[in-house]
Order: sequence, then C-alpha cells, then structure tokens
Amino acid sequence: MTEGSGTGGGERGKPGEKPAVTWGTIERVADEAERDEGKRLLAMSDEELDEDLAEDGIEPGEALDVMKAALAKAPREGAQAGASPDASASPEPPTKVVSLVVEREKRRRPRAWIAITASAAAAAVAVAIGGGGGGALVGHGDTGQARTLTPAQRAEIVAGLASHRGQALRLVCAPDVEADRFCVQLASALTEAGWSVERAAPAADSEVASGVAIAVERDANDGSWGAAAELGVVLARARVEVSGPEQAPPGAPLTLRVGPR
Amino acid sequence: MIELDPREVLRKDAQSKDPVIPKRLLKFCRSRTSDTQQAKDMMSEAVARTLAGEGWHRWRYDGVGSETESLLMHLFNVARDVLKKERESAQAWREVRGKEKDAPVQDVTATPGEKPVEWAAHEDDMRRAETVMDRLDEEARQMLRVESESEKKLDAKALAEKLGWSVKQVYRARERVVYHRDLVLAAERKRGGPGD
Repeated sequence: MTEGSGTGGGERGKPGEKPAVTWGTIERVADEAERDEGKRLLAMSDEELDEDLAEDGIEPGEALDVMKAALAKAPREGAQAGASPDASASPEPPTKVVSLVVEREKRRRPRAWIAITASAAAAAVAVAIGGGGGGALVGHGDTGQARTLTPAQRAEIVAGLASHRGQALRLVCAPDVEADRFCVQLASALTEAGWSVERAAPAADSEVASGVAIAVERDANDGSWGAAAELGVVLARARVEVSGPEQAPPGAPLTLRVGPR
Repeated sequence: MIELDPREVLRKDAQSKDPVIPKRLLKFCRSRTSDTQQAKDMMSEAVARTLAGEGWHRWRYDGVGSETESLLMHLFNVARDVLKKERESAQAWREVRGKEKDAPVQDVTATPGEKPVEWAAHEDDMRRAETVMDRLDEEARQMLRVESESEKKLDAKALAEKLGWSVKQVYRARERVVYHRDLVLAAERKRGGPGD
C-alpha cells in the first residue's frame, strides 16, 4: 500500500470553509469503489488477475494453495457432508484425520493477527476427509498384511498431487522391509506427480513411529502448508491412512514419515 | 434461498480448470491489507468462518447468478467483517502497519462543548479528510481532487482519461482510498467515536 507524506488535505476552517477534498468526497469515492469491486473482480480475466497479484508479489499458484489449505483444515459439517458427491460415493468410513489447523494455529499465534474463533478451532481439531477412491484402507488397523498401493491408488496419488509439481519432500522410512517397500511405492508415485523426493534415513538414535505421518515446519510458507494439506487429502482419498502434520525441525522441508505398520 | 454446502462449491471450484474464487478473494483481501501474509490470513479466516457457518456467516445461495459467484460475493462480505473485527483489536492494530503510522488519529479539536455541535461535526469531518489525505500518496490525492472538483459523477474510464492514467491506475488509487478511509474510521471506533 503506497503511503504519502505530503499534505494536500483540507485546511482547517469554520463551517462553510471547504477543504480541497471533503470527507463526503472520500466517503463517496470509497463507497463506489467497494460497490464496484465485486463486479470488477468477477469481470477480470485470469491473466489480468495474475498480473495484478504479481504486482503485489503473489505468485499465480498461491491463492489456490491458500484455498486448499483453508479447505483442508476446516471442520466437515455433518449435515452438509451427506450432500457431498464424494462422501456419498464412498463405501467406507472416512479415513484418519489430518489436524492441519492445530499446527496452523500454533504457527499463527506469534503473529496474533487474527485469532481463529474458538468454536471453529475446536471443531476443526479433527478434519475428517471423505474419500471416493474405494478399495482397501492401506495401513488401517493391524491386519498383518503388508501395505501396498494398487494401480488405482497410485494413479489417484499421481493425479491428485500433480498440481504441486516441484514441491520438495523428504521421505523418512523406517529400517523395516515392509515399510521400505511401501516407501518405494510412495516415492515412485510422488516422483511421477512431479514432486522432488529425497529419501532420508532416520536419525541413528531414534525410532520411526508406526504409521504414515506428515510433518511441516511451524513457520513454513503457505505453499508448503498448501502442499502438506493436499498431500493429506490425496493420501486419505487414496485410502492411505495418514496423520499429522507433526512439527518438523526448523529448516526441514515438508516431510512424509513412513514407520512400521 | 437454497441450502448448499459451501465446501462442495469451493472444492469443485478449486479443482476446476480455471478456479473463480481463490485469486479474486486473495486480490480482494490484498487490496485491504498492508501485506501479502495478512491478506492470506484474512482469506483463510473468511473461508473458515463461512464453512463454520455461524450466524450471518452461513452462506445461502439465493439463485441469482452462479453458485460460485454468489459464494464469492458472500466471502467478500465475510472478509470485510474479518478485517473490521481485526482492526478493532488494539493488539492487532499495532501489528497491521506499525505503531507510528497507525497511531490513533490525534484529536486536535477543541474541548467538546466549547463549540456548537454542527461546528464540532464539521471539524470532525475536516480532520478525517485531512488525515486520509495525509496518509495517501500524491496520485490518489490528485484523483480525489479531480473527483471533488468534477460537477458530475465520473466513472473509472472517464476519470482515467481526465487524469491521463490507465483505468487500472484509477482502481488501484480507489483501493488506497478505501484502505485509508477504513483505517481512519477504525481508529475512531477504537477511541469510542462514531466511526461507522
């Protein structure tokens, strides 16, 4: 927002003495601008919007990332969820929750700019994501079976994550034959989606907790949060049990941790 | 009024080839805030409140225009409310622009009661106008002066021609007028003045 330091305002005076620009003019111009803004924004082409946003230092994909992250963290409304085509098409109950909002709230707290309303935050602690993928829920319960991706699940992951092509991801896999095999399948799907996957060994003195979990650095940018949200949504939709995000160490990229079953 | 799930409308829009809502909503928020992160937070909060659907934040499709357009207009209104509430918070106030710029508008008028009511009201208007003009850049001030001197209402195109600007410059200048007008009114609300 540009600021000026000059005067140019009205000079003080008694009633009847008008400043160069009156408050009435300012109100009229501002009100008209607000009234017209909705229509104007609707009439703008995608290219015009991109250009405008770029002037404000906003990349073309950022708005969509913010929207996806907001959708991922929002509570699912019971009454309306039934109307969802995805929910109605799903033969299985929703998969594990993705509690993105909790970390997001922690991340926001230092800024203290806008407090998420208490009710929204409480309701949004767990975000159940309904899926339409069908098929077995990978990693659900202790079935004793090795986790594996079917071709359909793999295709769903590839298609779902392609919009975040180029996203860096660290894949930490437990030193376990079954986990390692599942890690290879996930890495393959993510790489095909265009993600830059770097496999990393777990720290020597730590164990990898069971299950699949997403971790994001507390102060990661919205692009990473959007990608993390999308990763959770897409894996859940593909019937892969996933939790998180956990808090990643400062400076760490978006991380997907694959532990033992 | 038709009850639709805004999640579904937002999700479908986000998955479409050319989403309508995200860029427009972020652009709207950006024009009312001082930096990109605040705009993103404002956008997220508007979406969260709409999805929570409490009180008037609940979206109901009135059948006019497309569902997406209707939801976008609703999100604009919720975003305005988010900003208004945020600006009423003294803590947030300090963070939006910095202490110096957003210090409450100084009351330089005489002690209440010393002047007739209409004179005091006139002085209030003068002070508000002066504060907004002081905060604006020269370009926006120039536009307001032309608007003020014009005998008839000027649309953006006519104003652009008169100023030798592009229409976009006019819209940008108007955005800044809205922004600073809102800041001055918020400062008054905070002080317990009229502000609305």
